[in-house]
Amino acid sequence: MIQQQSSPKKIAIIGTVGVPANYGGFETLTEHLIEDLGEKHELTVYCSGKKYAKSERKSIYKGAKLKYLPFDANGVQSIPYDTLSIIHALFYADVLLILGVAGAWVLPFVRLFTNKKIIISIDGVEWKRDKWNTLAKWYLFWAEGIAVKYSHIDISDNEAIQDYTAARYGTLSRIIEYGADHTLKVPVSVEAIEKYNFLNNPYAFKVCRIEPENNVHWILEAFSLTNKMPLVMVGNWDKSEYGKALKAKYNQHPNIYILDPIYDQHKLDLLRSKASLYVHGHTAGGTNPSLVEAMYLGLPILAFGVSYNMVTTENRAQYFYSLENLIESISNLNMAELEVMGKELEKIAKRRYTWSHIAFKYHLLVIEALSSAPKVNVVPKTTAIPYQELLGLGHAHLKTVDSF
Amino acid sequence: MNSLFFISPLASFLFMLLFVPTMRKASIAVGLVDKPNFRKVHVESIPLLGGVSIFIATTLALSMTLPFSKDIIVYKNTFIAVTILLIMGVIDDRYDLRASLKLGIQIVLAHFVYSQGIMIESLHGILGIYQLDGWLQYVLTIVVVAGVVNAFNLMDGIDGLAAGLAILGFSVFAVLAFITNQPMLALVFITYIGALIAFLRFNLSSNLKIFMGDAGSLIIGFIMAVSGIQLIQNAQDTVYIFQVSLGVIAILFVPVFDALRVFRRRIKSGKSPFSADRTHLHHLMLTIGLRHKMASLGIVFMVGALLTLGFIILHIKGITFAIVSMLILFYIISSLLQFNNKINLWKARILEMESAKA
Repeated sequence: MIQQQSSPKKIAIIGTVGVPANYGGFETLTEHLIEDLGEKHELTVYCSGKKYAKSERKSIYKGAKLKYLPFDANGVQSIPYDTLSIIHALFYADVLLILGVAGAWVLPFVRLFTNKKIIISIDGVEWKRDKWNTLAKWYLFWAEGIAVKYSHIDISDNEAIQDYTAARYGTLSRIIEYGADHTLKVPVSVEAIEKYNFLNNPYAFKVCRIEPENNVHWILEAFSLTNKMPLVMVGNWDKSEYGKALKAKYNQHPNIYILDPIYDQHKLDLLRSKASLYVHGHTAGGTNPSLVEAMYLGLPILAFGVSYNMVTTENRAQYFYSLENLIESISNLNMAELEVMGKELEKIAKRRYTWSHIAFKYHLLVIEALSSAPKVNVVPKTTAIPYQELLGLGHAHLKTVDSF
Repeated sequence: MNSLFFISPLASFLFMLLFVPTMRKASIAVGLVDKPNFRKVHVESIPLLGGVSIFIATTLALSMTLPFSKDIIVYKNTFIAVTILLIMGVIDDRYDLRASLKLGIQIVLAHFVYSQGIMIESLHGILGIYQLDGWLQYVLTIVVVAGVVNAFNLMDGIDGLAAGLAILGFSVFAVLAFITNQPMLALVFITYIGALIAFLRFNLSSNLKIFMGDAGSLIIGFIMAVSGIQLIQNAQDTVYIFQVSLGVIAILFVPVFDALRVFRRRIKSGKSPFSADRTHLHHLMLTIGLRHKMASLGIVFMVGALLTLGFIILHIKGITFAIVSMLILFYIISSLLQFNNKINLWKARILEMESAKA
């Protein structure tokens, strides 16, 4: 049994944009799984051909095989993307690690016709997010149910999501969060200060998608009405009307620095390492990568008071619940207290949010999925005794199970 | 005879306009009002005398327009039953009667109607069944009359719904009565339509609002069930028998199957089938964000769509297929609405979980 568990298994990682990771949480996770799990198992990662040009594609990356499918990994195309990835993986993989529920509709068939082990990460409560239209919400709501019912193990990234799956499905979801130790504290150089003059003084920082569900409008308004410290905010302002309107309104405000999205990790780390406060307005999804990254950098945090954020920060951050509340919190900030809070949050992050820790948890789940008990054998042991012998003993009927 | 088809509904319409304002004051004075509770969707006390008004207006109009001949004897008997049911409904609206007593009275009335010769004699080929045994005729008639009356009563949950369904139903019935040469029945249906249109005017208004009350929904359900059976009986020897049967079934279909669907759900979740909740079709329509009028209109459209589907399939494959396809369409629509409702409930639940302090 032990032998079987530790022997290398073929694992397919399905549902991410792909590696090398340039994108969100799942991709960064995959990158670290390749580094940490790759030594123990044979990994195959499915990548979106839409995001990797033919010239950048590799068949092997850090020892993991890469497969490209000509679909987007997000939006409605994620359904064929995940589905075909799952079907392709059935031909060779022992374990399917599926990140996201878009392809979950095939899982009942996978369970029925194959013996593959399925581990699925259901992400945040995707079906209720504002960015989806009604039909997508309906599908995701249904697919999440299928994913939980037909997987061997389902993963939540947050305790609050685990509470929800327990309430809705009556089953225990496993919690695995994200790592943050790919972020680095970058010392501020003279050139950097020349370029970003706000680095000289205390400032608040926030990086996120510019969407109403991240409370961007509240945060901008609150900082425009207070003068405790300036706010530096990075995001995709030009992608939506919401973002454009906010950018136009606050771009000239002396207390607010609006920056376009930054895809260079080093540059992003430089801008946030020295911040005196990290503001986190997310209302949705479980554990947000940007929040754990800020914790890992030891930044004090002022977060929206939703259960996910409270669980992630173990209730050690400061929370706001409304615009008035946020303005009040900013006005009452105490630098000495903030410093203590930052240290505490950093400790939590070092304990919980490191990739080696996360990858190890996934490793354990793979073992668990593989070792789920085989079907109990109900054939009586007497059938192994030769027939003549049984006949001699007067118990010939024990040769078969038919007599019962 | 022809001009009566205009005069009679006009008379009932005008009688309604005349009576309702006075009836409103009277019903407030005697406390015949619907008080809001957690299940109700309105917030003020609303007069409940719409049903009585409809009854008086149509009775007066029909007494002027129905011909004096021995043919109306069967209408007289139905009229007696309707009057008794109306009185029961008014008492129920004012004092709340026991459910078992109400059901008992309904069964007595259904028996009375049967004894007057109005009965379901045949299934006309549905599931390949034709003429029924005598005892089965009796049981089926009682079950259908009592079932439709109660189903219609349950549908009366949002503004304009019961009246809207009744207007569509009586319109279809009137057409069926005309094509099978039953002008007196048609006159009754059209007269009811006149009164119901006037009722809708008040029901949907904000300052002169009235409800039809149990009294109203019970008598309308009863008239639909009884006259529907009568329509089919009288069409038995015509070439339109399948059309008439399907038309009547399609009109009564949604209230009946929605009630059965709700009962089944309640039993499955271990509750009494009569425990009140908010899972009726009209509640589900409200959860997709429709306002009352639109939700009612949507359900009326749904009945229209089922009717159309039924007639198309009847034409192609026959009556059994028509009914099965209507059942399937209804199942699909109600499942989608149910699903939407489930999502909304979970959304609310999650919001609660999210804001609970960790």
